[in-house]
Amino acid sequence: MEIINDMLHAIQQKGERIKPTHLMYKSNLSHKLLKSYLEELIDKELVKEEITKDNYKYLVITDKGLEFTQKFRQMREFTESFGL
Amino acid sequence: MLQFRFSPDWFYGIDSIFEIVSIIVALLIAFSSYKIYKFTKEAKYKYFSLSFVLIAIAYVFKILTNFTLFRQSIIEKTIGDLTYTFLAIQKSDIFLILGYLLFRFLMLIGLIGIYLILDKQSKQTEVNKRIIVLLTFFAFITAMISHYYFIIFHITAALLLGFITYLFYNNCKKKCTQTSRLVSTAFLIIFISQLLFILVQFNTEFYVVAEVFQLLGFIILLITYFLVLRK
Repeated sequence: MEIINDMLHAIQQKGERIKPTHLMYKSNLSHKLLKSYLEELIDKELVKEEITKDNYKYLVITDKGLEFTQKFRQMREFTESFGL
Repeated sequence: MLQFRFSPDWFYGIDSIFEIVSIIVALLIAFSSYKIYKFTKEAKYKYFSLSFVLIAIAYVFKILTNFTLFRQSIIEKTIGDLTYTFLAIQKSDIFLILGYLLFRFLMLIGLIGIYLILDKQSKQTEVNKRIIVLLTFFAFITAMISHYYFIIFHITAALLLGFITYLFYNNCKKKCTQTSRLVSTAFLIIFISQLLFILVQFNTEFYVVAEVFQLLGFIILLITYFLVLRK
């Protein structure tokens, strides 16, 4: 869950869209791992793929993805506040 | 030494309003913790939530017993040749006894729950199930004895709250954030309130001071809750 949040946070910080290679560097994951996590993110509709006119692939965070990061932030704050 | 009312007359009923605030705050924390449990499926959040639910239920019983319960009964009396019946309202002590017993027992179980979760978290060890059974038994015995010597309950609750405050303070030292500071401050104030409840035996006005401290502690927890939500 921490990795998924890191990935979504990286996309959010890049203006809510990022190239897959940039995401790989930012999240410090191997290509194989990134692929498997991305499949999960897309499957859960937290991220969607977009192809630009000049044929570049971008990963865009969805509203559900933004909601996830917010919930995760609240959860982490709660956990840290109560030492859980 | 049976004592059911600890509040001065002018404060009677106002303490129930304070308790309602405590119930709302305890339920909000329980709800947040349960939401995290649904999200992560980690059992500690479920038990943390359950502990706060028990504290909320304990306060419900305190409020119910604060409102002295009455029951109606028909009494027949004979004076000389004259027999007359009348409807009388009698104080029902059984509800008071049961209400206070449940309040004290559930409160202690809730506090023991919070303590065990925090202690397990700080030591990263498993909680022995036999310890839980033993502590539950002691909580019951304490609640029973507190029926005759009410300060036993407050001493036990203060002891547990002292340990809990210490663990929150340690957490605050490790990860010092605004909200972790507020949580340890809130529990320190609630701990002080329990010490003040012990002094009620000398002067009932201490009950008011203790209730105000307790309310202040729960209000700080409420502020913490909203600060967490704002993130």
